[in-house]
Amino acid sequence: MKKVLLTLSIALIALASCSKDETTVPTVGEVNETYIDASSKTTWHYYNLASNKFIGAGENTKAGNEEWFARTDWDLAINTYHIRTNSGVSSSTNAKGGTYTLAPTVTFASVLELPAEAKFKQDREIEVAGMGGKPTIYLKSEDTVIYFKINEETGNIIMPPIYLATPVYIFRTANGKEHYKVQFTQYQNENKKSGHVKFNSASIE
Amino acid sequence: MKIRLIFCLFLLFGTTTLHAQQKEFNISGIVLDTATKEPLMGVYVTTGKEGAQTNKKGFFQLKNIPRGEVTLSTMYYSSYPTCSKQLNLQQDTTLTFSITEELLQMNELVVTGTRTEKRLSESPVLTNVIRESEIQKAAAVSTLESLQDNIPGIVVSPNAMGNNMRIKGLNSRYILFLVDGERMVSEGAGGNINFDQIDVNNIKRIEMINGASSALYGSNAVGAVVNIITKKAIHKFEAGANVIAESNNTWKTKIEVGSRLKKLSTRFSAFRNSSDGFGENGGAYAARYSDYGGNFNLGYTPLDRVDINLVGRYFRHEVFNPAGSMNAAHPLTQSLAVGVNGGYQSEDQRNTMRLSLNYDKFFDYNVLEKKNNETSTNNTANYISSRFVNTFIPTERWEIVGGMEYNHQENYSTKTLGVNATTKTIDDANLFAQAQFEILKNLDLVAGTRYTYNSQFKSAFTPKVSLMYSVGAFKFRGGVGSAFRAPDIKELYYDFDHQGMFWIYGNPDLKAEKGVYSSLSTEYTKGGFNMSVSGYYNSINNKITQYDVINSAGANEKYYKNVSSATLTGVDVNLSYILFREIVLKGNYSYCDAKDDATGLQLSSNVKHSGTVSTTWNGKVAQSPFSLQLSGRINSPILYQKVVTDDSGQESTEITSSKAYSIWKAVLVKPIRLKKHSLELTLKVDNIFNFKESSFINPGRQYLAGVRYSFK
Repeated sequence: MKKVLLTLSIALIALASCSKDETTVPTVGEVNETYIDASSKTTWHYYNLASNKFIGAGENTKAGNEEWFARTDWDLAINTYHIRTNSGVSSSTNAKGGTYTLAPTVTFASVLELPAEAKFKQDREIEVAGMGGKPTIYLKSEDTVIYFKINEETGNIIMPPIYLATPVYIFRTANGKEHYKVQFTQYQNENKKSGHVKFNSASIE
Repeated sequence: MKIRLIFCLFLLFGTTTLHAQQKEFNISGIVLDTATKEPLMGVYVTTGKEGAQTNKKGFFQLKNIPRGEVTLSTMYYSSYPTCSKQLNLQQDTTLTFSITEELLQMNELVVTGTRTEKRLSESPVLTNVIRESEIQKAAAVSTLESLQDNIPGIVVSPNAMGNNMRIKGLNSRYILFLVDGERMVSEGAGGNINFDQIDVNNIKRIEMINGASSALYGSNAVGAVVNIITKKAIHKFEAGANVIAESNNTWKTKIEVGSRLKKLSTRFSAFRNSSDGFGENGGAYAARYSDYGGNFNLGYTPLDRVDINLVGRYFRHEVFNPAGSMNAAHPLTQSLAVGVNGGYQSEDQRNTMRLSLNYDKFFDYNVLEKKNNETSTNNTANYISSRFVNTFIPTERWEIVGGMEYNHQENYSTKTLGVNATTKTIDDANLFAQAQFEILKNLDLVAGTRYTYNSQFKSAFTPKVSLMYSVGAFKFRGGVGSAFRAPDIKELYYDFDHQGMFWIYGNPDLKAEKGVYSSLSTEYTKGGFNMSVSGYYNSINNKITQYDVINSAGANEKYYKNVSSATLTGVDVNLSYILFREIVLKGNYSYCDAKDDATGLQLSSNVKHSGTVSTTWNGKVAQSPFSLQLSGRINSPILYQKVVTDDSGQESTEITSSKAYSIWKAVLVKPIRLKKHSLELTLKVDNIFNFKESSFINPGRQYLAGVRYSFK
């Protein structure tokens, strides 16, 4: 009798799992890990999420930016800890890229679909305080590869900087149709050189 | 009857013979306080290898002491100095020790003011002393805390580069820190010194003299000289251990062992400190760290007038990243100091010569976490110092100190002295002399000077004159001293690209900064009351200042030049008062106007009004002593004032300040003594009122419990 019950329950669980698979679990693409040496402060590296490839690099100059802002074949660009999406001031074609930042408690693996409340931020002009120098205007996303640890009582970045992991981001592709979850996993290489970025990405529904 | 008589005679004869031949006797007695005539419990009385402790009635007994000349001594007990009696022991003896409590300890010897031993009350240079007992009663867990407890106006803004300490606007480049008279190398960024390399439990006392003292000490003695005197073995065998647990999972442990024999003395101590830090999830932040360190000294006295000493110190400081950080490395620093010195005194004791050689090396590494914690070197700093000092006392009224010194410093850096790994050096040779002359019985003059030849800025000449006049309970001191601060290797040779964010370039043509310090002070001592008031005027010229240039690409370049000057004017008041023999009141107040002459602004981090206060109750409950202390540091707002230049080159003044604040702590120390063993229990609440402010990194209220064991 016990055996019969056990078999029955296993079968039930298996059935339940099957039916869940078929109806509610969204399809998550393969997770890709990508590395880029983005340590040059003057160069942006442009990435296509669907093909998991960096498709080229452009200088952070008016001409260099204009050339890439006219293209729609990239979704993410990296320059040290700065990122761009193909949207807002980073697009001259009105491309529909952008990012949505998930809550810090959400893990990469747990993101299976686009949250219903997702609202995508577009790139804009952002003033970056140069350390002791002139603040520089960057055309970029407000999201970054890393967070700097802040002394919350002064609002100042703790020096020397402590690089904290960011929450999981959802990137919208330039055509506005596909979505990818992206999490940055490295900012410094093993020799402590900054701008050596690694990230995981996977498509979500 | 005959037999009985013979037996009696035999007994009589026998005992007489025995008495005549008796080689050992008993000594007993009581130990009393001279003033109160009360018996003192727990005083250790020794002769040779034998020792005994007094009981509740102040009674002690030493049995079977060999006949002949005997020296009987009471060991140092609380604030009672040692006291000795000599006797020719020919029979069982009873005696009374009457010992006098040195309430203010004005007779203790200090060395920093003149480089020769002087009684505190007779030192021609006003010296402030922080004693071991005070450090223990304040439960200071670090050397820095002990300095903060006693020196007004210290501001620390710790980060991973160091404590960034300033005293009334002057950073550690303008204050000379010595350990047993040897310079501590300011290895870190901004001239930072990590005071944690000095184990606070290994400090015998700290002496501080204000003002310019380059005549005796050379570069950096611009604002003050702080000399940390470490412990030496004083007992035949001594050992100890202590454990302290503090908030934030902070643990401080230490072991020590020492021995003083007739010709040889040695002491070794090792410590481990670690803490989880605080603020990982918000608020002020301090990183998790782990420290190890040790101290060693070995002294050999082959003859009464000759001594040779070997000293060593090691410290390792590792700072970890918070959980979840993406930093691939964390910092690790090590420092090592080794010294050998020897002294010879002539038979007539008029001439004393000392020769010393010290080597200090600092290492700054990255620990590469993704490479199995392999270390890579960022910087090293070496400092070698050799010195010969001769003290000559031609007559009772004269004391002449003369000497020569040669120093070599060498910095190696993989990135701050150029794109490639580079080593830079500076050498300096010095001649110095100082004469102390007793003009009248109550008037002393000290005059000294130093000539320095520096490989970079060439010559510096720094004289100093001070006078002391005593009348009754008053002492008046006055003086004018000069100082210089040599530009350091970074200021001279920086060639640093900070990840393309900014660039720093040194200036090899920098000159030494010069300081002239004039002061007048009055000290009054009577019974348990001591008060000193000093006024000073310190003018620092040729100050080396970093300035910014925005280059054509809009990036920030920083350079150095001898451009500014500063004037510090102030008054210091120190007060100690012992009430009813049990309550010690201490207070220090300091007013300082530290002005940048070019801008009229206050030097960054100056605190115009600052003070430290403490009340210590050295009480007894049922004959059992304890101490309870309440102490505080009180500061008017910390001033941050600077001139900033906007994009159009327009200059404006940026003035910010912290809140005025006071930080209080309460400490209970309960010693338990049992013969040669002593146990001390400590409880402390730090920052009682949980003061938090953005201007300093403080976790708020903290708790501490500690146990200290020692065997003497």
